Amino acid sequence: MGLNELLGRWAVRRAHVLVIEVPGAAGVRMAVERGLTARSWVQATSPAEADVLAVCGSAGPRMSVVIAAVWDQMPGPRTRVDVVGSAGVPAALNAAAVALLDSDAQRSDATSRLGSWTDTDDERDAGDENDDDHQRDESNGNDGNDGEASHGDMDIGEDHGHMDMGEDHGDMAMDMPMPGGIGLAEGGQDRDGLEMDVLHVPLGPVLPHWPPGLVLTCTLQGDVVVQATAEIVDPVAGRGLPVTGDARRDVLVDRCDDVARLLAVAGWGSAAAQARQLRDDALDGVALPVCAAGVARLTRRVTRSRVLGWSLRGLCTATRAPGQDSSAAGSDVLAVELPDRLRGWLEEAAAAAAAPTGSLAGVGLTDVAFTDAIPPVALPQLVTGLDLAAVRLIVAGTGVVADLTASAAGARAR
Amino acid sequence: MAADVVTVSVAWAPLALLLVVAAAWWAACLDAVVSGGRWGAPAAEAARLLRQRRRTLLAADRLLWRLGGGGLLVAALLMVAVIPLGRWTLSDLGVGVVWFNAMDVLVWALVWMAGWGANSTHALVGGYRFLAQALAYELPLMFALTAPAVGAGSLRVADVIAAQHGLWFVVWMPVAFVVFCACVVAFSVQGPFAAAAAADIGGGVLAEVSGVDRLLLLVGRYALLAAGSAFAVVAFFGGGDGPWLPDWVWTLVKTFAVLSVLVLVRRRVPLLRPDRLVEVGWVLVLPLTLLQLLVVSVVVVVR
Repeated sequence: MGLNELLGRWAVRRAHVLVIEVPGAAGVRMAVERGLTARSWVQATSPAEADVLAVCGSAGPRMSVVIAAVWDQMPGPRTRVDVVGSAGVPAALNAAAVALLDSDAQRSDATSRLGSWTDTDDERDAGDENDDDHQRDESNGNDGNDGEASHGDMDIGEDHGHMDMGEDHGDMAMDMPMPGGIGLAEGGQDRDGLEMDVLHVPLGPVLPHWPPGLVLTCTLQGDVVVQATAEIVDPVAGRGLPVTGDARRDVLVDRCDDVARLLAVAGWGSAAAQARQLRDDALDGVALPVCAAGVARLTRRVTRSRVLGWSLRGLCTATRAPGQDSSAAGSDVLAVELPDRLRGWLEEAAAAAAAPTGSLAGVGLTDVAFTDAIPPVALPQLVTGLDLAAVRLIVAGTGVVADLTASAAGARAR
Repeated sequence: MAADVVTVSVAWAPLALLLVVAAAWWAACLDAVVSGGRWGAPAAEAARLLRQRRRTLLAADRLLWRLGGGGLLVAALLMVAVIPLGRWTLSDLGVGVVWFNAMDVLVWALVWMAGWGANSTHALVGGYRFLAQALAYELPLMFALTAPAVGAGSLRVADVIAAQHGLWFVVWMPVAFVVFCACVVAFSVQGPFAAAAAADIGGGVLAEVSGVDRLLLLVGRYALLAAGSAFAVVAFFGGGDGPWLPDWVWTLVKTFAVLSVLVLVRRRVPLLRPDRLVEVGWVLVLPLTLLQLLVVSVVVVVR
């Protein structure tokens, strides 16, 4: 047990946490992210990577189903914490660390997953590998024969295009028996007129740097979206942004969070971390001139990077279909290129940090409402015909909220 | 100009593997520190992954999936096999440069299999992305590798090292060197070339792996970076050439230096989108590399 304990102690120094933001819990999510940074923990990008599932906010009925599916996909040792308020974050993360080290509880969790094991061909193959797994299972504190079986329950159809809602095989040909009972994908003509497989894949609601609750159900050929529908799961009014009591800080926090999200999706981790640090500084009450200097540094870094501009530019104009109604919802969002939007956010953050008093009227900022946001119904026309990378960038660059008026009202109500 | 290298027994292969893993470890530690973490972060990560269970996915192609994940480290070791450590080498192949190139092409298959095998959309998209990226970097990489071979008049790695005595190739083949380094980062699926494992597709080829499978993939990526750095040293920095210290020490020192620079530089650049990278690779980088090759060829003929 000595080695087991030693491994465990090292492991919890760097636990990976899958953070799920329920709609209306942006402030709690930020608090959890800060808690992770303080502990040198890592935000997981997928359930397979995660040790801890952190649910931010109170999940509604549909979101709860999704979270249960994601929980089933986590390999274990695993633990789940529900955080409803920012104040509860340190205690929740402490509890998570303790739970991960509780070998007895983890062992019984693994054993309890045996029950839903389905015996497919694939799982029988899996049995052959138990010898290979033996050593690892011991280090895990398990009794050596449940390593593979413990994942059986997540294999019943909800694991393809993971982080989904378990319904992505619904319209495939189920009458053709295939390994694991999955039908073959249908073929279809892609944009170049070539025959290609058609996949139906829901993106979200659990994806890193993704608007809370958004489900974008895509029809994919390769990685190109040929058709899409979007909705918000369990929508609520308002985004639940943190309230610092100073309108300037509220704007600073919101814009830095936006910048961090877009930079993270654009794959520039170090710059995204810098933006997130600025956000946390603003929340921590660091003097506004210091924040302003930080924003200026980040702005220089972002605007100097020609590679970033080259990656982000040209996405929005490409989506404007010929003859598209210019008054359609979302088309004004199309008009702004992503690098310009990024710079706009940074300028607003700088203006807020430099504003003389708690009032924002003097610098032309009136509200912290998500002015660039679009409703879910406007999203499909923006993303159809683009590849997944571009779709992710556009979603990160606009933000999707259930109800624009509710969002603005919620922001003003504070 | 026959260089004197000693081919050692295959029994030394574990030592080579140890060196590759040590270099990979160093790269991971350095990466953690410059990202604001601690030196111990990779150790904690390894402990975490050794403790975590592996996953079984419905209808996954287990053979290809596991081969792809574990193969990266093997490919890195096979690359290192033709690189002399000072005087000693595991294999004194007459076509060592081509061998290295063949191993990096093997990475195409391995990353694709890791993406395909999981039977998951995000992993599959990661595989697509790597192939698109490989299409962009492979030809420039091949021609960048050709430059030292032409300069030395041989495809044997020991001859390439011997030909640099007095003047390292990096001095008069800077373009080939820079292109080669970028391609090393690219076939290691790291930094700006990590689109295949990016967060926007939930980790791509990493999306579905956990436990030791994930550990092997992560170590394999750093090991490829280390092996590529070692090859940059023999192809452009004169191998073990240097004063005072024994030649094997110089090889190691230079390898760790190149590796560290690659780790530090790659953080400064955002992700390069593979679909746009192809255009740059073929329209800009490939002609530049060919131009470098032309210069090298003319110098070799005139000299």
